[in-house]
Amino acid sequence: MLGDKITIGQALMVTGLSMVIVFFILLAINFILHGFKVFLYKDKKGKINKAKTETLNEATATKEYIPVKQNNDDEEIVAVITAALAASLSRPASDIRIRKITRINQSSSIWSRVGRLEQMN
Amino acid sequence: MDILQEFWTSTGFPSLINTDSIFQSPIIMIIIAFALLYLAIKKEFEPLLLVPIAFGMLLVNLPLGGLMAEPVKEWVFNEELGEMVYTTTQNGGLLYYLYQGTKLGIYPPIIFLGVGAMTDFGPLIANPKSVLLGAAAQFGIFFTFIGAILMGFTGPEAASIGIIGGADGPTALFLTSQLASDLLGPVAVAAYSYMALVPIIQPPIMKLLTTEKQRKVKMKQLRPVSKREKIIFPIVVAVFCILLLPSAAPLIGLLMFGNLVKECGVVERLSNTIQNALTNAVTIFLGITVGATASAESFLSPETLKIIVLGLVAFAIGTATGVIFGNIMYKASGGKINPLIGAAGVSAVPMAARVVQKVGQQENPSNFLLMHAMGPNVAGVIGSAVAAGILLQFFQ
Repeated sequence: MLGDKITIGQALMVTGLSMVIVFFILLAINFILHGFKVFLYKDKKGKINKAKTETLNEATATKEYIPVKQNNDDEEIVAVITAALAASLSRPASDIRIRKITRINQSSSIWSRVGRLEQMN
Repeated sequence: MDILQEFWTSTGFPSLINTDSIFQSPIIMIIIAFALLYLAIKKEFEPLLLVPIAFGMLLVNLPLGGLMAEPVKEWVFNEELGEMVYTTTQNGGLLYYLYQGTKLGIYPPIIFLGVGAMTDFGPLIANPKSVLLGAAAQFGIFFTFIGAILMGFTGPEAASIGIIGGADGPTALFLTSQLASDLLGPVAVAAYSYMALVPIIQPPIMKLLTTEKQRKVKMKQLRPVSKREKIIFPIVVAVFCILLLPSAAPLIGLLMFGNLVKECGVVERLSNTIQNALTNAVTIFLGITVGATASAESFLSPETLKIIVLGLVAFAIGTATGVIFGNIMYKASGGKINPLIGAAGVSAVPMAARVVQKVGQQENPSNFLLMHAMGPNVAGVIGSAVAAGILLQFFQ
């Protein structure tokens, strides 16, 4: 649209117009996302929170080992933790020795934990 | 003796010294390349790109290698056809051919594909207002654009320099390759150096423009975002943005495609390839060929110095306008929004968001702003791609 040499007036025009367009497009995305909240998020709530149950399942899955732990089945827990560590560190399980397992009480809610986990992945 | 002398002249050494002026000497470029390699390897400044860029710079400045040599084309008499034909008589250098991917604007959008496949737009979907912070931080681009015009650059050059303020490597390279490919070297070096320096450049500006009370603001936890929202988001944004701004199609289109591949969950293999193999391979080609554009003749000029200074200005203004807009939102929301997150509006993902987290935590160790800052951060990626699209529309 414009040539190589442009005047300051044209430069100001480009600047003004561009900033307006950037703002307009992102403002529109903002409204679209508000629309998401209204339509998709509520819709989801209407259906007894499909996504919530999904994440809840995930959350309970991580929680489930706690009752197992209380069953005094310590060796199994050690094996599971060793296997999980081995997998995440990608080292053979024989390299890993579990010395002590301390249960840490959850300080934050399951919701925030799941949120954080989701962001990490 | 003659043989020895002939051998000596056929090596690169004499050409290292035989230049018209010291400022045109490849030796200086080689030293700059070494310095960049040092920063990348020892200091770990954006090593993924700085190592290939610096090495490309080194290779192209070693004399007589001809890695960036253009193919020689001549009119030659073709006996079979009985007429003159325009044909390649000598092929170009290796990097010349790889460089075509940069010059034709192919590599940067592919990197954007990778960025899309690695980005989680969840925090943005959960807090739509943060989009506006991503827009505000793009102002640095346009202020610098005017500055560059005042300093005597042409329109397309000024646009390429301004886009450094978007703090988004691929966007800057894409726009520069389309508008002012001569400036690719300096723009790339400026853009990636400043991205690496985000943790040094941003905090003073953030602290200057906010009060202690504002920095301590804890923000409300973000709502969970459903999978469906995450899948629909890239489709809607791609359709909307490209219809409105067709020139942004290569960047926004591939960014959103990458994100859809990640979020849809049915093409895990494609997602993995894009995130790892493809992005890595293209990063290598992009880096080394961008570095290869930095030959002594094109890099060692007063323009480069101006670009480096203007790039810093662009970055600083982008951060400042982001934080200022954060301040406005702080007031508008009755003190619920921490203005620091505005600084993350310059895209530099995820470095800028991490800086926000760090500065926020210095004031209030129990404050976690990272997720809130990711919203403006990823919005900044969209914002700078949109800004690039607009500038492309004006100047192409």
